[in-house]
Amino acid sequence: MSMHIKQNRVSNNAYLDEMARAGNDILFVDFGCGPMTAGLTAAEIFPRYDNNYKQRTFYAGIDISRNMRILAEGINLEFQLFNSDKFCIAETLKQVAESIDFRPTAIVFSLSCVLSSDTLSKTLPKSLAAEWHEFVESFPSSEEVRVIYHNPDGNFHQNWEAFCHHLGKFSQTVRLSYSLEQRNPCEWDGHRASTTAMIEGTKKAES
Amino acid sequence: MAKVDALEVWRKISVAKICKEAIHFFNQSQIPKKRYIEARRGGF
Repeated sequence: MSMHIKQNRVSNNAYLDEMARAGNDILFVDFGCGPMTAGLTAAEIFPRYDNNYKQRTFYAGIDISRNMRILAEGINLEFQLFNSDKFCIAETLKQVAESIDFRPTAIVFSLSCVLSSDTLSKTLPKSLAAEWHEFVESFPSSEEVRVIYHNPDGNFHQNWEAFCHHLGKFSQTVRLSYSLEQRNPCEWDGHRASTTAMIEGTKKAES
Repeated sequence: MAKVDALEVWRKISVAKICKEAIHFFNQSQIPKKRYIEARRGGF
């Protein structure tokens, strides 16, 4: 079980740490949040650079499971990871976009291992990329976005690359320009355990 | 300001009865048994 925490630690240390250090107001979207495994490791990183991170960070957890949503609410209440007015749990990205009052300068989309299942619908990467695009566009204050993913399976070439492909199409039309993904192995004690990857989107220059 | 130790928080969460579904999900999750054993050998 703790392996999921360690995987998220590797991913967030690799790709979230730099954003936190830059002093951004971050909207952290934990897609498929479950019991907040990605959120827990994010809450480790934010205080490193900002004593006031609870005022400058918004956590949004998304899960289709009602029980998981209740669990995530309880975990945040118990451990006070994020301020209650900078914390929401929802079933969809759209619900988050419609319900929160926050002006992020950066948005992080933590996919954890959501795309790693072989049993996912083939259309999911495309629909998820479209939903994400719409979500980001609803926060015009954001100048940088990152999509963070890790995959314990080894079937990286399946859903993640399809997601990247579809997201890349939006860079032709929107205010953000998505870079090619970065990809790194996750290792502990010399053992390779999974792979982590990130897509970065930065604001296009005004024309 | 209190620092967060994700592993310590997780240790407390994972023994709570309410986490049954989460534990079940992760135990049934996508990690092949062989890889999981290799990971355990890695010390986590």
